[in-house]
Amino acid sequence: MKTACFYFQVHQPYRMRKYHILEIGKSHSYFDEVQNSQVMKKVAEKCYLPANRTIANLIRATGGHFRVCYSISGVALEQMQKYAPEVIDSFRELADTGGVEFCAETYFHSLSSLYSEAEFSEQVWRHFDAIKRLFGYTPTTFRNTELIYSDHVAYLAEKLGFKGILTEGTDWLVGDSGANRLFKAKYTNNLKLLMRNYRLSDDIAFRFSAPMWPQWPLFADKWASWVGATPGPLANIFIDYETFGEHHWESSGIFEFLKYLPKALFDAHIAVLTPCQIFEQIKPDAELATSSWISWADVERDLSAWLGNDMQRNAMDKFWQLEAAVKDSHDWGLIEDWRRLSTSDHYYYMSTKFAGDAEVHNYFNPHQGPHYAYITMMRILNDIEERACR
Amino acid sequence: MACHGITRGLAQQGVKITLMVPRYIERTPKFLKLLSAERVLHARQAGKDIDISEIIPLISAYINPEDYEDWYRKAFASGSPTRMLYGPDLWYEMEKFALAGSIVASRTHFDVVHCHDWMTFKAGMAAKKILGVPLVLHIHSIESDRSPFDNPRVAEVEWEGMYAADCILCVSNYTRQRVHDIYRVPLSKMHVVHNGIDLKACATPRVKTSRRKMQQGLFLGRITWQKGPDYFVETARIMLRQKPSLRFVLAGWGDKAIPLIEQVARWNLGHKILFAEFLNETDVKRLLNNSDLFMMPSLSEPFGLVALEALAMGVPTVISKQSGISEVLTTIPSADYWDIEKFARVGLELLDHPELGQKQLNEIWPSLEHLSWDRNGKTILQHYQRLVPAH
Repeated sequence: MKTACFYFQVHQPYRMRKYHILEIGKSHSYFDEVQNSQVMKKVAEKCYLPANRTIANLIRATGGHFRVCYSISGVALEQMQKYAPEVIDSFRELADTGGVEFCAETYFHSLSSLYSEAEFSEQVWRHFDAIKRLFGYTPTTFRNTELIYSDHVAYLAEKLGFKGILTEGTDWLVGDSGANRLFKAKYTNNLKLLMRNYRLSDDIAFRFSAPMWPQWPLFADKWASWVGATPGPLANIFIDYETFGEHHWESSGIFEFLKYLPKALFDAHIAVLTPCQIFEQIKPDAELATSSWISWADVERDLSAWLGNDMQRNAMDKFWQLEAAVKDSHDWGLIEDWRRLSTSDHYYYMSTKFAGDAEVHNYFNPHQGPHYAYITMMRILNDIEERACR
Repeated sequence: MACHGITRGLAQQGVKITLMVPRYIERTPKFLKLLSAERVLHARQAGKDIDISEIIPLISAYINPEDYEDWYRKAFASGSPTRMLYGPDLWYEMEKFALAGSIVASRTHFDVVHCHDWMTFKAGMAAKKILGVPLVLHIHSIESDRSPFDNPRVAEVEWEGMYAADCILCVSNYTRQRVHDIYRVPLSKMHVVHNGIDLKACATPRVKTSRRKMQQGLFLGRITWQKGPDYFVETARIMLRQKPSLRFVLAGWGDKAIPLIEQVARWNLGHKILFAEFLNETDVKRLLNNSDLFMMPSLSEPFGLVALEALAMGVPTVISKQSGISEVLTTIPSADYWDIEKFARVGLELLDHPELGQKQLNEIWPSLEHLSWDRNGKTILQHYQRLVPAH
């Protein structure tokens, strides 16, 4: 029997405000509270609340046979608590159904796995604790920011005690036999890997509301038949949660699609499990190793969404150079500000890619453009440096 | 900025001025009123004797025709009311301004028509034709100062205006010579009137904030080919190699900003060479006050008022030899704009000896007093009187 696995990413960064050159050394408020609260409230209303309600109903209606997995970044949790506490309650209610798994990730949705093991562990434990505290759930599955993965991430995650990792089913890596199997990460004792089926995932995440797509409109039964027709025992559907109601508006029929999904899957004899259930019930049938970094972002599915141009590399470089000085200051406000700047989105906004990917980058960009995002970040980092070296 | 000083200086001499301002001001109802010929004459009293009537709003003289079209397309697409007020290209705007000029000229009498830079030349020529009075052109910059590739139509307008003018006032000898070289205007028709400086507004000596450890070098102005921002960042790079604790700031924006941001990122120096974007006047003052070095590596700078402002605030300054201001400030260190090594050497020296800033200021103070707008107004009035003797 075939198994589908649904995992939804929930994340909202602390967006930067326009930080003025003359504020360096004077003002340490870097984030746009007004915008952040507006976005959180809007997304809560359009996506988080209705989608949570729908999914909770589906779990109850199917007697727990429909299950999903979430990863909610720590910065998103903080902003929910601040601007839309009802969303936290609604996730609690979901947790109480028993049909939900929560993943651990880096609290600040950062690229720390590439730069600093100490900072990485601290951010993961902080997120682990937050999930335990808020939802009474103990995560056993790890997902790295934007599904960034390499052998090094496997090493880090196993060291922290996780049983498995979610990552991208990049074509060149999984080879002809495809991503629809359970892998074991090579060079680890027993760390399992679930690889995203990007075709089936993107059918929902990107193509669902595109009228020029030949398969439009997409109905749940049609999509379920595609799931059934894919080779291999697994189909891992990993998407942004904001797909429901935010990237595709309610009028696109995305909630109807979701409502009919369990029935369509069960009719096609497809079971639904969460990652930790898969790790327990299914034996891995292949080993996988990659020293190259992969992710789920853009067409390249590598690190180029955050480190693709000189501006991004310069900003990231400078940011991590400051780690030691910031931490040595023992100024907790400063350390917290610095950590909020580790969020991958800040570097994503600096991307200068063209065509399809640029559309996605610009859709989310709170700045006028990538260059503005970069120069604003550099001004803020100057202030961070002054504070750290005081 | 310069026009403000010039009109104020002239007003102090008792000259009555009507100023047609080709500037976009974001107050829509006013524009709509201004479009009718009746309203054109409805001058607004502002300060002393200056009679300012804001005629048809155009955008800055520094815009080039291609950028204007792009801007207009965007404004049109966004459905802003702008589309009803502006024509589809800069030439149309210039003609409209000329029309407004001729309307004003046909309703009122003036003794002299005085125009500033190419956008207003057509209006000046029209007014001269209607009134039969002398036309004075004030050259703050010419097309080849502003762009590496002259727009032939702009150059044509400039040539035509200079041909029709009775007297041409240039902001420096440098500009006078360039106009002569490029447009073959006889030197006898051209006179130099150096810009002034508002000492009262500027002479607030720098308050050095002791808390700041980092020394800061500054570039101020449009980030365009003419101002040499690329030479500034090259100089900064050399200086940073010798003194990594420095910080550089480019304040302003322009077509070179994006490529320079990328250049700086390529050098991995984005945290050392900061871009401040466009700043208002107060912030420019505050930024100057925070800076320890001002560098003006302009490729072609008819005058360079900003260097005077920096000096008046006691900020040590290095300027390019290709700037009109080097004629009046002979004691200020200067280098050819392309000589980044010399810029860096002099810059580092000034940073190591902050007292040199005060020394520079003391040395040039007499010439600064000489360069008042009041005096500028007197000189211009003398030229008027020469052109209109029986007054």
